Amino acid sequence: MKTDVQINTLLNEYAPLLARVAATYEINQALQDELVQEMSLAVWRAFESNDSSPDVAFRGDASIKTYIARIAHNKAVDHVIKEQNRKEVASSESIDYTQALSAHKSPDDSLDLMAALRKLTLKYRQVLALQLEGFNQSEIAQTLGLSEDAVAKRSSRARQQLASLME
Amino acid sequence: MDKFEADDQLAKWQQAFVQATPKVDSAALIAQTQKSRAKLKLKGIIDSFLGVVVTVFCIYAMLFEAKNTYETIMFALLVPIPLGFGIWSYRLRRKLWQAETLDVNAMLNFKENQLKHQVHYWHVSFIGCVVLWCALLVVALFNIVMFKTYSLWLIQLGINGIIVLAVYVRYKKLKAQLAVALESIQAMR
Repeated sequence: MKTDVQINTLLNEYAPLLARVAATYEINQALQDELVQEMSLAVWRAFESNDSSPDVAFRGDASIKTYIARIAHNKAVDHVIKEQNRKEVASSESIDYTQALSAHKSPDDSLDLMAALRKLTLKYRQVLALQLEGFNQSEIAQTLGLSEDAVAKRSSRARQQLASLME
Repeated sequence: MDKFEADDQLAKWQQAFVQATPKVDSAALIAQTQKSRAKLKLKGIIDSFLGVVVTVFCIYAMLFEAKNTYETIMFALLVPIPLGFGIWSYRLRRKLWQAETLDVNAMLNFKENQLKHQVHYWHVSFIGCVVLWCALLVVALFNIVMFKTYSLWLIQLGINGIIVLAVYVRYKKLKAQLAVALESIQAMR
């Protein structure tokens, strides 16, 4: 179990990661902020809990980042399920991404990249977003609960799709 | 050996990805998270307290308000429900929090089961509420006929009838949403 100060430090360090994960799942700024809040709360609860199971024991900074990414992606997936149930336009799977992409067209590659990422189907988006965060194949497999072969296949497809979207 | 090749395109995308990080006020985020956490803890304490209060009230009613053996048995059956519900509810919330730390695939499996159990729970709750309301109707009729206590029992029937209706509406809504939710989960695998 971590103290409040330790959890504060972790949230401070990984807030940008949470924001990036939220941005890849949700285009609406207000919902993004709400999602980042939910992720932070989930991270806090996870680190505050006394009885973390052995398979999530930490072995240095790499494991903590994987653990936090896992929680962030889980909350984001939960958010997508809830939003689709509510049938809101801002839901990340159902939004008209053609409009989103043209609205953000600029010489700035970073905006186009995020818009293009949101256009990928969720299973490709997850793998690529984690790869862009700097996770290796094994860490991505551990986060998503997939085999490394499955991760490699999805990554390859995702990169092809992203490259064609950004042309 | 890692199957991913470190290539120029990926490096460029990684750079752009980091540059695209939305602005986050970490201090405000942490403050809001602490506030939400405190609110949740307070809610948990209030829920537990209310459970205890209702249980104590049922015990009081059983010992001092019941007019016959039948009513005593009715109140005795009600005694463990509020506290039991509170404990069950806390354990369910804890399971949900723990599921958030699983890998995404395991979390999706958990979510799928949770949604199915949720619909099942509300279905069983609706049936239970209907049975309890019918039992309340019997007790009410007995009291109205024997002791002419109309208003107390009619109000109780009315209030509990609204609860039964609310449970029914919730069950129907969740049942309608279940298919869409399961489809979303399947699409994410």
